[in-house]
Amino acid sequence: MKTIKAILIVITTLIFAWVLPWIYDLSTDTPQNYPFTYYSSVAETFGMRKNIDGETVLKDDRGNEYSEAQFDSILPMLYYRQLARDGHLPDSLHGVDISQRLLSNESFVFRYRPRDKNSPSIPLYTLIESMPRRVDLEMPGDMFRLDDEIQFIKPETNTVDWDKSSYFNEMLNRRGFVWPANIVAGNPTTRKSYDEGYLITDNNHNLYHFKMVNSRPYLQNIELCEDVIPVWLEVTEYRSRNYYGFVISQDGRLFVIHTGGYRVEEIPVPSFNPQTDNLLIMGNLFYWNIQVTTANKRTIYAVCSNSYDRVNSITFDAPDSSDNVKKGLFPFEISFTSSNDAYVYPRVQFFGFYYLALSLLLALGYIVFTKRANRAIDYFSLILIALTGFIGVASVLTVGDLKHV
Amino acid sequence: MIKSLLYKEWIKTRWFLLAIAIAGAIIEIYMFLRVGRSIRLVGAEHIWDVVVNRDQFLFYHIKYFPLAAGIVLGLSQFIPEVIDKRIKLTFHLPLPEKTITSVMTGYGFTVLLALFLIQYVSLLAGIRSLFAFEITVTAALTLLPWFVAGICAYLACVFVCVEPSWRMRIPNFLIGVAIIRTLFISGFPGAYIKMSLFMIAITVMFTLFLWLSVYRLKIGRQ
Repeated sequence: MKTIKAILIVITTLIFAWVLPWIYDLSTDTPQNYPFTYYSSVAETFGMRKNIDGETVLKDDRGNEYSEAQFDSILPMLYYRQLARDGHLPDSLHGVDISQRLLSNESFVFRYRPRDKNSPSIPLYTLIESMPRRVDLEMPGDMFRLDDEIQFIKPETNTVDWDKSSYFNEMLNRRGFVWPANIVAGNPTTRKSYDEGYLITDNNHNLYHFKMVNSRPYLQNIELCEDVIPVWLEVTEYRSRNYYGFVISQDGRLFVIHTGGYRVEEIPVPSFNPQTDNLLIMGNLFYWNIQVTTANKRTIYAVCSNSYDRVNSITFDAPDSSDNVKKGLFPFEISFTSSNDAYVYPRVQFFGFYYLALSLLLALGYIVFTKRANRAIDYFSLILIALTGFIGVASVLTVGDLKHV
Repeated sequence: MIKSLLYKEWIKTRWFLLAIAIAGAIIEIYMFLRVGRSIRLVGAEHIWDVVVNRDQFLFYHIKYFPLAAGIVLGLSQFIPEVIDKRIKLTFHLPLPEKTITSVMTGYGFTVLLALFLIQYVSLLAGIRSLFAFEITVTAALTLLPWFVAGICAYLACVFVCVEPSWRMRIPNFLIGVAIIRTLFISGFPGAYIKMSLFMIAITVMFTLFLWLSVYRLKIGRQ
């Protein structure tokens, strides 16, 4: 029975290592925001919107402060609608005639979060007709799976459409597609202006563009450098129709696939960790603002949207989130969820040995208390308290020590 | 003797078991009626799209049913035993306490598991008749922690009810709540795919813990 009691004490300690830091965070959490930053194609520097003590401060990287109207003017690629409404949208910029329509068409936002990749998903996909007879896109009436072959399943009857499946299979096999598919990425919705189907990697990490045109399969191999192993693909389907999509490689490099020839170009930003880092691209006619956020910092790279030359960058260190009180109280915390994935499983985060001072003090207190109470010291509890400090004490107080089963 | 013990457990729990079976059947029928209606109204393709591309789980109405079923069965079986400490009389039967407790808990565990298996399999069979294999697999993974929570809730009830002192009943109850809570943290379809070992571990743990309560009852802890 002592073994079971010992297990109960340890489990209670683990529960406290989950619940107590959670309660602590719940009562002490404060927002930790980075300033909103966007590269100005007018001032050729970064414009920043900061919130300091509840006041919004608009400034640039050189320290100049702006009024709201001035800030709109230095960021016409971002605030073009406001400028157009105020009648302040310039006719041309850098020798290019601009209009609200052009700026709207050339603007895009691409966001990658590790959670996008690290989430359970159902491996069924919708292949929309890319050249519909009608103006609007329509749902095809089936879904497909890509296991050892392609199979189209009709939801209305929950059966496989063997004719369509074998027709598509024949073409995919003829093109040397190696089953099963590895990554399948697309935007299975009819709420978009056009459809470019899917970007797919096969089992050999070969990249393909796959879509349905006039009810027929279209499969195009896209050449990647040999060392590029995609871990994330994104079909863009932006209004400008300049790109088919983005590729993020296993080593955290970013590539764009151009329409017209499937030219693949690497974006010159340092590699990031697709497992933990967030990526945001806010593109416009002249520059892409590529924002890479890691646990410690956020860097924004301004990249020329034509040549992909990196023209500027700015880095912000993460707001100081080190909590010495928390580290002093808890040796570790257990959590079951993470912002980087959608899975539930226990994860342990150690806080170092800051808690040792308190835990040794508590262990000493435990010895004094038991001696005064004229009780024998329970060495299991003593070691537990010395090792885990505050949460060990909470555990022993809750379920008792090993001497009293 | 064991037959008589089992009969006693059956007498205590039969109406509650019937209630669990009927309630489970009603919830399942209700869920399929709802999904069937949705399919008739907007078409199967749209429903599949919602399930596959918008991460919606359509059979969430059953989420807390296994938990409630486990608690109801546990209480129906052990509340009569702990009132006036009648279980102590049971322990005077010419059988070892371990055997008596094993028979009692084994009975509850087995019938609950059998009921849950019937409900789980019938639910999945129904889902498979309407949806593709991949959707059924995700549904199985989403439903599993809820049914495991039901089994754990039953064992936790025994752990709490058999414990002889209120001083320990309250911590035991809170520990049970905390552990079972881990099975309801996320409703994202398939989120618990990495938790299969954890689910087995907590079931084993609750089984061990209830022995601690039995032992404390036996040695007369107050």
